[in-house]
Amino acid sequence: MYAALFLITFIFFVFLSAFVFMNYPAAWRKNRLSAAILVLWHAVGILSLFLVLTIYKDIPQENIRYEITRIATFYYIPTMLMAIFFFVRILYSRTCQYIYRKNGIKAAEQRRKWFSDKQVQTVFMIVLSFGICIYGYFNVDYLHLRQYDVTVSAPSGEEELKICLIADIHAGSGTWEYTYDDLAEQIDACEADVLFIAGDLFDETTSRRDVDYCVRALRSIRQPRYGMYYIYGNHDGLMEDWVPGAKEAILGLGVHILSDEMVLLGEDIQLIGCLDPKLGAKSLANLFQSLKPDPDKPIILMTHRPKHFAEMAELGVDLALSGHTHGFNIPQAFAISLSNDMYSGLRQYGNMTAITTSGVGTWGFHYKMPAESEVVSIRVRFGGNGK
Amino acid sequence: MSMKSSSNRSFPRLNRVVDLLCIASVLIMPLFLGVFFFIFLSMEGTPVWYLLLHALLLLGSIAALVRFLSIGLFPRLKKKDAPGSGKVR
Repeated sequence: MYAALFLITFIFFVFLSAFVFMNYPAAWRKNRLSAAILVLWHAVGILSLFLVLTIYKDIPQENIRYEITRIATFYYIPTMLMAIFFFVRILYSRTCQYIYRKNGIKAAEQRRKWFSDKQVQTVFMIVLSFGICIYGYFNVDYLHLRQYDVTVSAPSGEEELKICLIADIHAGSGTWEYTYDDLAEQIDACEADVLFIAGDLFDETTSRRDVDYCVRALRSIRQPRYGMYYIYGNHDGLMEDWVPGAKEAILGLGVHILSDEMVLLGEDIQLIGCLDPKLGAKSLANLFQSLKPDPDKPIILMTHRPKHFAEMAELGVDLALSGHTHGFNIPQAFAISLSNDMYSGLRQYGNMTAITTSGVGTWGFHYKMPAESEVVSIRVRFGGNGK
Repeated sequence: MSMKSSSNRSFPRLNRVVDLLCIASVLIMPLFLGVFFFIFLSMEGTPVWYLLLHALLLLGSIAALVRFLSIGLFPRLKKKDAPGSGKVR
């Protein structure tokens, strides 16, 4: 599966590189130095992507790993953005040429403005692409604490529950060593009764040392009253294949891993942890049929992907928590929108509140723009209006 | 737009196909941006400034399409006195 994904990605990048290279302005193409720089740019970029997706986690020196991630990020993001910008320009430029040719209009007859100059446009697009990437590179490490107040109509023996929600750490290329201290501080600042980890703690780039950094951070926090609960995401479900011992290290912290299971928090708060569809999860209807949660008591559902919220609301869920999207980011937002119900934030579905976090880190590249990395603190009050 | 031709004269048929693909893309661009505008609008977490930027791009694509149509995207359908129709003034 991952080999096929990698192959598709690799072929896409080869074509994308060829496209970007071939469509640079003709004047630049004639310049051999520029051409050589471009070839080197694509060669180094594609090599760094190849390294991130293959032997990245086995490289012993942290600095080298971080450097590879930086190169991959500063290759992939600006190249993607420039490909989009140049592609759109080519569409409109060729259409203009076609129309003028068909109508016998000569170039000299057209009113020329400074921004019609191809070199001005090219410089503008390059500066804009790198500007976005530089902002995104620094933005991803700056962790925010986001707070929500939620009222659940179902009554409970508890007056309120403080939840700390984190997701998408992607220890490895997504979250680096120096971020974990900040993460532990933010989790402690939530003063939560329970910590939820909504998937993708690890991924394909996670090394044994990354697991140790993450475990050390989670061990250093003030232990929540009701413990820590973790569900697998689409990346870390197979973590035992990538990092042997990672699961044991997490279980050793007292973290409960929920795979289509339900547990009680306190006397009557029902927490359901869903398995990711990629790992063979049951359908929501089947899951509820087998777990049989009490609809008169609060139901909190943790799922990695922010999908099927309307169905969850119909099944009587009071609070749905998820991650996965990494928030609204350019240019990934187009693809994310096609398979998820929301990017991040809070949304009401009837009696159900859905909260999606933009996550702590990001996958593959060290980039988030304009979404922010976050730790989410949720104060849930029970027994509002009667269910 | 620069008028310097980027087409390859060795492959006239390929050029014709690429031209038609570009025109088709320009025609559907407002539809593409319009659909995504409503998707982004309906999704929680889309920044307001991005929605405004996207709306601007959408309007730009519509304006470009109107301009292209007005100067003769389809030469056979254009008015007799349109620029480039061959009429000598």
